Amino acid sequence: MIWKRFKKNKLAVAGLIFICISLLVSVMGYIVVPDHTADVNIMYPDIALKKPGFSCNYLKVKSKSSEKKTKSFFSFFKGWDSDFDLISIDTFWQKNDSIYFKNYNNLLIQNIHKSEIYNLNNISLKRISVLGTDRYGRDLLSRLVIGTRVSIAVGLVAVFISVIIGLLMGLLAGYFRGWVDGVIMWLINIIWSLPTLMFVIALTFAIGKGFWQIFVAIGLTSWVELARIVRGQVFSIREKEFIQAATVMGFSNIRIIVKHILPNIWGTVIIMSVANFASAILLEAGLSFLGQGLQPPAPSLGQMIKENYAFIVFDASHLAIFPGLMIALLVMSVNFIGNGLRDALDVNE
Amino acid sequence: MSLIKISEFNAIAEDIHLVKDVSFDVDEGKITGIVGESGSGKSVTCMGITKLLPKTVKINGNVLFTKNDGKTIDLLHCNENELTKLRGKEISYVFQEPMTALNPVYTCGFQVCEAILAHQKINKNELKSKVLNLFGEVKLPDTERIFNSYPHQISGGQRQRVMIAMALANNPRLLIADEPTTALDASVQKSIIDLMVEMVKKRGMSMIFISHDLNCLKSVANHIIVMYKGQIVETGDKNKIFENPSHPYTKALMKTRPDYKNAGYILPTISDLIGQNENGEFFEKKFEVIKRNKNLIGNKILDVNNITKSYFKNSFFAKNKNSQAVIKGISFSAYSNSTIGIVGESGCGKSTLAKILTNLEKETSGDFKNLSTDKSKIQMVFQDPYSSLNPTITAGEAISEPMIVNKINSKKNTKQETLKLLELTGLTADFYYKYPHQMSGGQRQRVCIARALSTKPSILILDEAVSALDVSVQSQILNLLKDLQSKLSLTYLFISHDLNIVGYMADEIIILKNGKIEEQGKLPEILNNPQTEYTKFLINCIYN
Amino acid sequence: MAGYFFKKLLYGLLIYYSVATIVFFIFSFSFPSPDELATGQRSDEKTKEAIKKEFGLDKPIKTQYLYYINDVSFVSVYKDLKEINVSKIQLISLGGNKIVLKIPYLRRSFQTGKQVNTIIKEAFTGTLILAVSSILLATIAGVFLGCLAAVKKDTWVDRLILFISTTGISLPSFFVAIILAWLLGFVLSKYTGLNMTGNYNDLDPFRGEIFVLKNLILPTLALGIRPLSIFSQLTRASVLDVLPRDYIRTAKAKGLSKTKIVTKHVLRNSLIPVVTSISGWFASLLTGTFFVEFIFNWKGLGKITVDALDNSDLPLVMGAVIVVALIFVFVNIAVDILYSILDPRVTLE
Repeated sequence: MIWKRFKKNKLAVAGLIFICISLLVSVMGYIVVPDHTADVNIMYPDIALKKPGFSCNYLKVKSKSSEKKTKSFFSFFKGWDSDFDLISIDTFWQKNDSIYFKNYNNLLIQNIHKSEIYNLNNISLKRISVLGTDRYGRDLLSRLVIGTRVSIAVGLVAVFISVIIGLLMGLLAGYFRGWVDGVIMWLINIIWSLPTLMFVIALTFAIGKGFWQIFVAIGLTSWVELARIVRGQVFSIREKEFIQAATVMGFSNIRIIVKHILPNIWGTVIIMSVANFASAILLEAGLSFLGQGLQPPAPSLGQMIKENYAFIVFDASHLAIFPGLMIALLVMSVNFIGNGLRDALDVNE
Repeated sequence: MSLIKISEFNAIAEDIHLVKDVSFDVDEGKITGIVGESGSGKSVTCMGITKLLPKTVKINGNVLFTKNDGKTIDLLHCNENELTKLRGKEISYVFQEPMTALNPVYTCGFQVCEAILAHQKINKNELKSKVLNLFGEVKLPDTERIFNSYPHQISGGQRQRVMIAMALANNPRLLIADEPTTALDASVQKSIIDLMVEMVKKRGMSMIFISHDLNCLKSVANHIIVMYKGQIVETGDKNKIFENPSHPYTKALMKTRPDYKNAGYILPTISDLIGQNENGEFFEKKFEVIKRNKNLIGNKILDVNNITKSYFKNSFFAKNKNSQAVIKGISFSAYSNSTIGIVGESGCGKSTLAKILTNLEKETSGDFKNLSTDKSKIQMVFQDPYSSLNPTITAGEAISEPMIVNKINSKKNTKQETLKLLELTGLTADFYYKYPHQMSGGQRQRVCIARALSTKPSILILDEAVSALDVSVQSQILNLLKDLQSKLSLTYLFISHDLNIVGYMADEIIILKNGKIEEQGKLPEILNNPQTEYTKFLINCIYN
Repeated sequence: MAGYFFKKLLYGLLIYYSVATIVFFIFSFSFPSPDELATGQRSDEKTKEAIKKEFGLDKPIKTQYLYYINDVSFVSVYKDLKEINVSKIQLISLGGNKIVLKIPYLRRSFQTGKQVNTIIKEAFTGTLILAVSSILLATIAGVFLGCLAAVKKDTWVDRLILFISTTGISLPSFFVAIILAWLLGFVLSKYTGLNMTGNYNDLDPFRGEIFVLKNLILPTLALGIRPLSIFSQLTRASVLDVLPRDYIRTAKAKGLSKTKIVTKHVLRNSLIPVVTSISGWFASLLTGTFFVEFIFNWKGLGKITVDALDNSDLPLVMGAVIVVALIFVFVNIAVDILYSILDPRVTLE
């Protein structure tokens, strides 16, 4: 029934499809991207700032670091280093025991010994940078995918935290009123009086700027709106006669809250969660843009814009535009899904 | 000569015929009453003739209206501009709920001024004195204050008078009143009706007066139209309708009304009285009047002793607490297998009393004792069947939950017991899995009654339990309540603003006014021989 | 009325002091040790001691807190009035202590040594200009579009406005700012004549400081787009809520023209809930707009906060947050009063 009504909204369905694809790609993350090294942070200064569709040959040489590269379960989340290093080249030829090559866009001929080559049967590889490269020569597409993964993860964690806290606070304040409401409203008003971004920044000062800390900080700030709306809804449902009837029947407060109030506000909670998901993504992007979010070299969409926006006047505007577009598309999809759900669930706030 | 001539009027929304082939005339200087239950199409017709309905409702037909200048036009074929010039000037309206019909953010004076300025050019001072005069004419007190008051600052009756003043502001030729007194207290109802009739007669206007209550039209209309399921079933002169109704539905409407006179009998319901054959024609069913067995009133079961209730307003500055007494010392006793009717107008404290007896609120002083042998709790059935059931759970769950929580039955027996209760309240077993939105108002109220009975109470409070229901459903629920009482020896506290229904239901009666008992005693004695002025006034309002 | 106002004021003060407390504890525990920062290179012991003394850092945390609250309070106790350099009125003196009524004293910047009050006051003008112009744009255009969408419900106009506003809500403001600056201030600057960045006042070689109106256009657009979209959606929902009300039917029944009904009855009533959102946004715009000021190089509260964060200038960061909290408290009281004017049912009791 709900799905039937949701399906009618074409934009919402399009949003859902986009989010599903993004989710799928970003869950696979390092498995599908061209550059699967941790944080996509191998720099190729020779091929910096290349246009989308740029392709180039690379020489595969033995890795300099001696430690053994192992792939573990965590590689899935953190990426893994290759067993070989890459050198971007224009051409190469073999002569005696040496490999001679010209670096990309460089006339100087260099050579290395055969033994340094990783695999003599397969000396070079060709790679296409679909979205071009950034100023360090890093593959933009890879960074974009991993950055998207961060955004989606932030959204999910923030929704999880904010729904738990917001729902609890809203239910308590709305149901018990009196001093409980007073205390919770006091808390809400304080957080409200602090600009969200500043509050998150302050929190990250206190708990650090790691991956999880950012998530928690964003979650801790975004429960307020949800709590306020839930409180308002509970206020009005509490006035309904079926709650009075439940009290007369001798039901306990917990039973009334869980069985009679909660099922009546799910629609609102779902829609608020969707909105929170969108605003968490925006908040993380903003935080990273200010350099107060995830610390480099970990890729995140906001930070990619910050790194690259100075280049928009140097004919490399795509570097800032692609991550920006990605954020916009993610948030837009989520908001369209929210609009569709609002109509399908018939919720008025 | 007819002022407005409606012919073949139809209103269709989403393929449902709200109104079908309605035709009638309203003569100049005459009052036409339209009576019908909700969904009979009476309001749709009257809104439709000046195209006040939402765009989703499609209308067709002919509505010929004779304008002031003698020209006759067809309203349904006028454009919006022409209609705008007509509305409020030649045809004006008074609606049911004056609280929502007036814009809350403008003063009453402003809203009436606006109505005048829409059709007349007039200077500021003249305008104000004109409005103040109008206010005086509709018998509003303290006209200057009302002029500057917002709608929420004055009483319901006063708001309706403002609406009437607004409707009369441009001396219209036709006044359409859509249940103008339904939302008001009984004592106010009569004075508003009297006022409207007086105004209409004085100005030689015509009026269409819509009501769900046939009795209400007795003192108003010259001509009566009875509507049922979107169609006119009978029209005629007032006397003819009341003395010699021809259509079975009209007859049924008269018989199905609960009041003091048919108290000892089973109420006939509309469906008992009329049927519809396969051609869609109505026919009269035979119905034998059945007398009920007289209740044997049992032991004392509830003792209410001098209960008071005050609300304290904590003032930040004032040291003394402002208190407002809602109930000022109420004492009475109730006996098993009997009904006490509690009657009063809005704000008399009757609902607060119900809340105290069910422990929803705590009394300020005094106490009450539940003397039933099993000490079962007092249960309550609420007014609004739409908000008294949780929309997210089925009827079966709603009825069985109290039994589970209060550990009245074993888990196994609970379902059986629930089905029994459904049957007892006249519902089939398939209602067990139905959600509230799948039921009609009457069915919901039956579920509410079943739920209240699930904890096996000896005392049941019925707080305006039938007030929100249509006449035909009302009589069914009243019959059900009477049946349940004799089967289960229940004690009812029947709270209502409607003396007619209380007259049908109660053995004893308590008349409340401003939180105090004005009069109490056996029902026939009070109705036949009221002691206080207030009781006399209330009885007079209802029985004319 | 006066009693209500007083109550609100007291509650506002409670929130203000709570925020000050939170700000003090979060920042003073988590910030890089201020005595090292402030001294910078001249880190000889003597200077360090002097600074420690000036900021009371040698005292236990409880005493530091009391000093801080005393400084940001409106009524404070001082031994020597020369200590603080803000506008103040001396109330009474008790022994050696003087009790004064004053504006909050936000101490001095670590970085420049200037009074934080002065720095913020200077920056506030820029923010105020930007906030006023963008809230005007957002309100006028947002309400207009919202009304249009509601009146044309379910037509292509409605759908288009919903699409545009959802997009507007989804775009991160820094991304909008970058795109606008790039597109209108760089790519198309020949036609638009706008600059990529620029402040509201500029030094003209002949006329001294001048007000540059055209520099206001891009930041206003960038800032206004999100609130504009939100206001238009809110207005639409609110108008759709008011349209079926009984009093609109009454207005129609008394023969008012369609324009009169829409402007006098529909709009007036449907704007009441929108006003809350407008004032909320105005407050948050007043607190500085980190990204837009940063990107357009617009001197305002947001920019100095971001700079202060980069420099770890603790008193300036704390001062900015305190000012923000004050603005919120003030706007909240103003909204309550505005509400009672707009909606006579709300009584100030």
